[in-house]
Amino acid sequence: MDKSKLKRALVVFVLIVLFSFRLWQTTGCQKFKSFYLNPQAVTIKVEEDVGTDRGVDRNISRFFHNKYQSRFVLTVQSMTSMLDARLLTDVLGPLGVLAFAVSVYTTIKTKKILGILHFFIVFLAVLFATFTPYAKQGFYLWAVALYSFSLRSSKTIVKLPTWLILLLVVATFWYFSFSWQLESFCHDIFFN
Amino acid sequence: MGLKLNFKLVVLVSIIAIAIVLRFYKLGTNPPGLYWDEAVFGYDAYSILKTGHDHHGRFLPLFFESFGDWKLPVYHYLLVPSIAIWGLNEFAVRFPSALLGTLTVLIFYFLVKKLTNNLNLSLFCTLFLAVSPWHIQFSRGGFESTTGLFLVIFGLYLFLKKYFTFSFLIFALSMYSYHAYRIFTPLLVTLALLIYWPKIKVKITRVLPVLVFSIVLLIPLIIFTFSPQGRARAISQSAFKGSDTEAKRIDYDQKSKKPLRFLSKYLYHEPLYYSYLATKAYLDHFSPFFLFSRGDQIGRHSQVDMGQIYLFEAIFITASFFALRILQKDAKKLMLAFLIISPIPAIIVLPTPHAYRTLQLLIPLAFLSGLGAYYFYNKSSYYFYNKSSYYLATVTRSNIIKICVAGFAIYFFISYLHLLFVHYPIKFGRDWQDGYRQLVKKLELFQNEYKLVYVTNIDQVPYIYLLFYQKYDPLKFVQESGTKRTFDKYVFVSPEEDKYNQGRLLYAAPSWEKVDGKWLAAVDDSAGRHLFSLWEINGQK
Repeated sequence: MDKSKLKRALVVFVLIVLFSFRLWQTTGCQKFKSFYLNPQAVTIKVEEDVGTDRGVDRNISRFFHNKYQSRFVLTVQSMTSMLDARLLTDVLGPLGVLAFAVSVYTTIKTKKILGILHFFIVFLAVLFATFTPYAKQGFYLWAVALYSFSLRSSKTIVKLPTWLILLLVVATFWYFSFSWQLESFCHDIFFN
Repeated sequence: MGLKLNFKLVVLVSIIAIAIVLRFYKLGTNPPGLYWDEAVFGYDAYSILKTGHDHHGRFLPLFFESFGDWKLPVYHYLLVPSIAIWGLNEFAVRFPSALLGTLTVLIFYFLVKKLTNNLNLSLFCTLFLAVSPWHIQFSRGGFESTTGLFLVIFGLYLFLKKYFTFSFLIFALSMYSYHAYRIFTPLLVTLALLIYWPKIKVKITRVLPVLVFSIVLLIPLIIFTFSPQGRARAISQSAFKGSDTEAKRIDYDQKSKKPLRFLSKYLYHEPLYYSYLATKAYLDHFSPFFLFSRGDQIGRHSQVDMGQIYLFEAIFITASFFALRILQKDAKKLMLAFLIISPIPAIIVLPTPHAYRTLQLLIPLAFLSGLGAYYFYNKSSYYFYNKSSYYLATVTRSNIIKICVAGFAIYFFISYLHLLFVHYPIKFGRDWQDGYRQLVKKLELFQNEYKLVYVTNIDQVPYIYLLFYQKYDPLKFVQESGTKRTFDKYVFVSPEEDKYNQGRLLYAAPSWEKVDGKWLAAVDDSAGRHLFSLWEINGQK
């Protein structure tokens, strides 16, 4: 086997091991954080905002606060909270974040249909987590989509110096070990 | 050419006019109230103006004791002429911040122009800074950070213009403006020196003496930083506490799976654990949730209902990473270095993300938004639709996209104005201690009939509002050894303290406190919320 191919296979293997380690850690999570957008929150937000507009013409108030605008804002809030840098680091680890960022960059740069489809799957997973009340399923679908998309960048990652890859692997293991409590996506974690 | 230049000048003047309006309109009343830090800045400056001493009796201090948290001096001294002109009021306390905030926008234009040599790009970036909710928020309050940011940007501009003497002096001054710049400015200067080293080393004989002189100017600050006073604030808010490390280690042991339990004794060494905390805190500042969605959750630092910057800027910032290649190498390095080091001052203290301590982050973000918008509106059609056979269709499509994005941006900008001028004064009065001006005015109506006035201290330092709003003679306050506990006929008490064995007195109580006395008046804040009640205790029945 070609040396570079072997190195790439090794990087993919290490990434899979790290991601599997993280998924294994999540088995202790008793209650996943929900990114679900409750439809009632939209109504409540509109009512609250309109209530704050004292002395403002009702039409003007409705221009700024209506269910379309509120739904959009709350959906974006829910989705952006899933793209939080800390949350992504907690799920992917430092090496995974780098791999994910490289994958996004190369997908947009090369515009290959497979890459775009794969990215679209990540987007769908984010949407699924936003619109489903099943937090656990939403999380796993999203995490697996992120992991698989990150693996696309292995070709670029192998070009990094070996010492840097090793450093990132150690950093990822270190980060995963520290953030064992999974604070950013798990409300309650313990093992029997 | 001349006509084009004139047009660009008109655009620049318009952007500055927008910046002025957004920073000065209703400055005295919005934010509502006066935060206690603003009040103590104002009163100390007033005291300097009248007596040459701060309200603790120190003559022209280099570091202000304030409420015991020891503040840096630049903003205090900037307030002295402002208060001399406008009097001791909210507008005067916020005026230097709003003025320097506006000047930052102007200097930023020249900085970007110097960096990129591109007038259109500079105008785009300047526009994003002029309308930045993050920058407007801090320009409209009496915040030291706005001053620090102005000095850093001005210093950087002079540095690029090779006016090293003034540049280093201004950088040194920025470190006397706000605590965060004690960390940020040296980092930025070091990186700027490294980036521009090939150009600087030929002038090293000119640069070195000025650099050394600036460092000499910083000696008092360095001594202060390591003194108990200088460390007091950092220690009280430090994210790194030894007791927390041990508690976390025990928690880890109790909750983690058996095979990994042995790791805790290796993981929870302080430097290792602290570096984990610092990483988390650092990453918080690049959270899309913080930047585009909800912002800093402290009401004084953001609109809370939106991000620190506009949601539509996410499109432009994303586009900017593809546009970085149009920049010169040094400009690119400088702005990326600026971006990377900006959150560092906030990672050693809690809470995070913190918009105030990382105000400097908005500069690279405004730059990237401007760069992305410039790229989007100039190049996107070539980038996304480069096939000539689809030329006509793609031009139309790309224009529709551009118009939609512009419409989206305008809607969000107008919505922000609505939040700023309609929602903010109503929702965030308590964050600005709104109600104390009304309390002092109401006390003035009744207090002459009483020898003793008790005021609730549920907000820790109400004494500063009585000094500020009554323009109390600073000399008298020092001579009678006034403290935050008592001065003149005022005593500041907690609801639990005894008020019934002190004879007849006037008591300003929190609205919810049940008082055995004669109710005199209610004090409401600007939004009409009932905050305090005035009571007569031990009066004639």
